[in-house]
Amino acid sequence: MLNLAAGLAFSGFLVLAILAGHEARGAGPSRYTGRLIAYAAVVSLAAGLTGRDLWPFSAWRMMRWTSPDTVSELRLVGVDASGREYPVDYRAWQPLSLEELTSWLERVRPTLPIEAQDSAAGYLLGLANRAREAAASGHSFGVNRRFLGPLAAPTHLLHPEHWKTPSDVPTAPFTRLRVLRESWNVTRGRAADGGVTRSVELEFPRP
Amino acid sequence: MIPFPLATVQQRWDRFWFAPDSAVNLAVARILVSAQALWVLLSRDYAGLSGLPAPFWAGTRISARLRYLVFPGHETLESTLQVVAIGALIAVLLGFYARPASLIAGALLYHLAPLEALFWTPAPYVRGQTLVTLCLIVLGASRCDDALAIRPTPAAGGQAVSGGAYGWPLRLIQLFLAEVYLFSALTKLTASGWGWASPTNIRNWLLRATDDPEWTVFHQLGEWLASHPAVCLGIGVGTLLFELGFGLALFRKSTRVWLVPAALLFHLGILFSMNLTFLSAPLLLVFVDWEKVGSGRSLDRPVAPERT
Repeated sequence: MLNLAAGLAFSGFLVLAILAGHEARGAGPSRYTGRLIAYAAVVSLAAGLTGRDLWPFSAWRMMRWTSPDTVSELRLVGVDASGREYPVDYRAWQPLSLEELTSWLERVRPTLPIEAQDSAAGYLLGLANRAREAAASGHSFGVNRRFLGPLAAPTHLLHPEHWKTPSDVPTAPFTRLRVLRESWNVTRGRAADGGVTRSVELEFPRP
Repeated sequence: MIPFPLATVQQRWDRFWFAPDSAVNLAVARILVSAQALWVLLSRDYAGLSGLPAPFWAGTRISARLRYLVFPGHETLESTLQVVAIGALIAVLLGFYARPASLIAGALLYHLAPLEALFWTPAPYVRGQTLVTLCLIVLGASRCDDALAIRPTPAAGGQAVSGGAYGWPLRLIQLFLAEVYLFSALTKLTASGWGWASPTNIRNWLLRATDDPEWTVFHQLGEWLASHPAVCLGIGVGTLLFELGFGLALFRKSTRVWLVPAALLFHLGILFSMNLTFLSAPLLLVFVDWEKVGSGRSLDRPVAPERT
């Protein structure tokens, strides 16, 4: 229902803008301009005041919760044939951004049949290995920088580059992809003894 | 005849929205909006996201797909649309048929930008294309190419253009920006109350954002701030007050002198202490009186017709 309302809200905005734009060829504001302004103001305020996102009329619900003492995040690691785990550079997942990917893994993946989960995990393992090979041979990787290079717009969350030089890159191919859930107390910090609790959420291929 | 107080409301409405502004200020807004949209568009591969394997899209509701006319698996089509959007944004930037190009670019971004997150959420805000999508539609309805354009659209019938024709689109763009802060504060207060501003909460957010191996580029500032409870309290209270008060910039031009720099510093602070970006921060420059900056003239005076 919200999708329908949001779609209609944007459609109305676009139609009014086209009508107002046609009139804007004249000298000054006109009846459709007034309607466009009123419409945009009412819809955007409705989205914000009700907290219902009618994107692009957004409710901007940023960091609205209090942050708990203990937090947990999903972590993707590549595993080589010897069983050793390696962090995977965030650019390897592009065109997926890391935060969108982990959100999908958290919210959507568990609802899918096992076969679909494995299919997606296999695709991700392929992405990780292709990026690893490119990075190891000194080639650029990560499609988001194809036009603007390092000037490309970052994502909302900044991510560190694990593979800055070929020497940072694991030499052996990843034979497995592991999705871990890591939990830690922010006051104690991750560096404390036993600071991070880990559990395996998904492993591909399945053991 | 409109009875009082409706007449008063109407007058105040008109005075706010149709206050004169300059063609240059609106043109600068056009350039800022299109440049930011182009920057993000050239930094994403929306077509590639459309081509993700089917399981990634399996959880997306049909209503969400229809809302944005997104039907995954059409990578070639999305690539073409992405190229058209890039072309339209360059036209807006340069002022070449900027009005129709703005409408085209806005409509295309409405379709393309959600691809970044639609496989798990239909609300792709804070990804850099939310405000510009709205602003492009507004620009398409306005005389945004009367200045700083390689092909300005002439006024129909050779009529003089009123300053209000440049004022209302700027005001609407400014409203969209001010709403970011207002709504952000309101949702914090609704979800968490004033306790959101507590030193413990701010400290926890800072520590979380500086001790995550996949979400941490900058460490030092966040860790230092987190170690000072009084500073954390100041950040919490200051954030809510700033976000609630930013709307003053809409109504009092004199407040923009400190509110706009404060907003830019606010985003820089969040970037270096929490590793979070706000890609639309450059749009804050739509609050600057560029004509005054460029020529020393005040924009509070009525604007003379640009052309007849």
